[in-house]
Amino acid sequence: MALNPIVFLPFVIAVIPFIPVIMEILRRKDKGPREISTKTIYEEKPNLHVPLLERARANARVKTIGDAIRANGDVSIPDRAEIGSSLVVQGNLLLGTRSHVRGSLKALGNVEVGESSVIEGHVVAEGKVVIRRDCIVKGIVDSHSDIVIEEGAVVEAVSTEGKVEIRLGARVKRRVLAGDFIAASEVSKENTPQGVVEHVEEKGIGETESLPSRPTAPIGMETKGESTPLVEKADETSVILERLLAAKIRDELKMKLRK
Amino acid sequence: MMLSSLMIILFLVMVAYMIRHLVFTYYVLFGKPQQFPRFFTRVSGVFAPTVTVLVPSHNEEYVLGNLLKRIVEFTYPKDKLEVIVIDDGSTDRTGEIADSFARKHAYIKVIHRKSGGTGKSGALNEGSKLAKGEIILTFDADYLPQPDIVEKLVAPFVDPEVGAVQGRVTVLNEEDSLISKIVTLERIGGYRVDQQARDELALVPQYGGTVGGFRRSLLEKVGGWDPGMLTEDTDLTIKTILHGYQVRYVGDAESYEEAVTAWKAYWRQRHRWAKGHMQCAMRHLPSVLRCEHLSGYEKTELTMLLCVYFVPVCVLVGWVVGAVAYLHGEVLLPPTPYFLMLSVFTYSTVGNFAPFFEVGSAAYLDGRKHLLWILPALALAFIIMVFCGTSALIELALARNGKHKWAHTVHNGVYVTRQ
Repeated sequence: MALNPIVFLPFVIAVIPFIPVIMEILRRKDKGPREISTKTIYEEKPNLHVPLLERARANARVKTIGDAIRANGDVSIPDRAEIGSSLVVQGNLLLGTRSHVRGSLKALGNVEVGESSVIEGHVVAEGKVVIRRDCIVKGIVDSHSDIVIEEGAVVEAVSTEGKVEIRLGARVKRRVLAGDFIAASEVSKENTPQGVVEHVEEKGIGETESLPSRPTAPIGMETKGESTPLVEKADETSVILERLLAAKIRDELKMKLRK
Repeated sequence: MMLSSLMIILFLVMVAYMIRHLVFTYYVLFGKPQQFPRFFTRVSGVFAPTVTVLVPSHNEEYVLGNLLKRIVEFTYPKDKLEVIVIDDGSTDRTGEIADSFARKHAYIKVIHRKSGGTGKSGALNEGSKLAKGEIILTFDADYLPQPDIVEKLVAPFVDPEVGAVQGRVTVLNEEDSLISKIVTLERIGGYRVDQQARDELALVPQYGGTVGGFRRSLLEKVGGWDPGMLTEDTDLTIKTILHGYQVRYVGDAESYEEAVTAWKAYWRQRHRWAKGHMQCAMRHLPSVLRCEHLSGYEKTELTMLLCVYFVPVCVLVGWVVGAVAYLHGEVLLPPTPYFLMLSVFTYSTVGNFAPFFEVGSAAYLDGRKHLLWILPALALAFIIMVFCGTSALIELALARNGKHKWAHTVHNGVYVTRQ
């Protein structure tokens, strides 16, 4: 019995919902000059493991002309840069010294904020975050990985799944939250950060390490020689702990259910 | 031939939606997040921008007091909180109740609209004109949010890419009737699986019109809530995405709602949703498909989201076409494409398996196994939706002036006595 060719029609029609995906895949990148948002800094493949869907989304988003500057790949901003909005990077971000960002910074990789820079918003990253000395971050520094706050830097709050290293003279105005442990220099007993640490992971529970004494500041750089309180609002501790404990229990339950 | 092609298209539409349901369910059961990490829990409580809560109310005397009582209990710093109740032309004691709270608490303000009652969008626009917060959240008058919900809902805004958030809606009066149980199941499936999967798969969670909010700057840019749209929430979700922002879903920011308890109210609510969704699809689908900054899979998902209420219409067409083909003595076996008709015809046993699986899994994950026995009742809801969706499409096609009447859902505050 001859096969009716119409039986293949479903397969042909099945392709229709995927036309946008196919168009996206087949879109040629070398078709000559392509209009790119003037705000885009540059584009290259980031040296990161980013989930496929997230990467595709970020690749597409870079074409939008929105409130944030978006860039694919690793981005390095020169010293004394003035950025008038938020910056979103699919890759690693290196911000030059004495820069000024009026918005927030977001990166799927590591972030390094150069010395004496000022960030008006937040710093959100999936990789390691280093806030160099004498920086001011008026918002929250949040990362999935480790965070280092160098000498004399001032940030509003810090939260991470990894560890937090707060060097001498650095100041966290509100809360330090670490999944691993907090390493702080010369912290007085009453200001010990142990009370605000929520240990999501098993290692280093409640540990507060002493760091070597502060390295000499570069010539011409002003230093602050005294240790400063890590947490000003310690009275919030119990509420925070309660909430985070609930979150931890919920996460554990989720993991169990998934298993 | 034409009939055959139509049958095949209908069949494929069913299959596509079935796959979508299955992907979401399997993802929530076994998957790993694809989206930027859910940092919300880490920054919740520390990030405290100024927030305006809008409460549109039209004849809500039975429930508004309860919501305002809960708002007073909010743990969010009161100096950063502003609550605006919009008494939208109420003819009962709604305005009076709101005024009594405003007298006691400086951060609660009341707007009395005499020409109100024409829709939620108008009321929300009126409220947003006075709003001073960086973030604008909305709550329906019949909702009962958690005391720390504001902290949880504003947390995602730390990410500069986030333009809107959506919290979770849980039914409070599930024991009231079969309808409320069905709505409970729908809500569980919709939030516990659908919204969560869409969020974590870097797709598009939907702002649901309540228990959520926006950056005020974004709202101003898109022109606020569109009074011409019946589902202003879907409209705003699409506008948010088209402006290059993300919508994020915060599953642990829960608010309880009073579900409808009668078939008539269920029909009216679903009818409005179906009509509004179709209206949005007609308005936004071309922009979504043309949009440069959306990835291919986001476009596919948005297309499916916007067209979801066309599916019941397809089912009805499938039934009719199938019956006509059968009566004309068409062969219903392979290799003729008519055999596909069987799949469409038996949609509730094939296509519906996926939503059943989704809702069942959600109820299981949520620890509400006692609701699983009611799963077969969902078939009733699907059959109702077939006619409801078709009726909505016909009405939409016939309303040439583009004006659609807002159907207000009446809340009788049955849960007040249980508090």
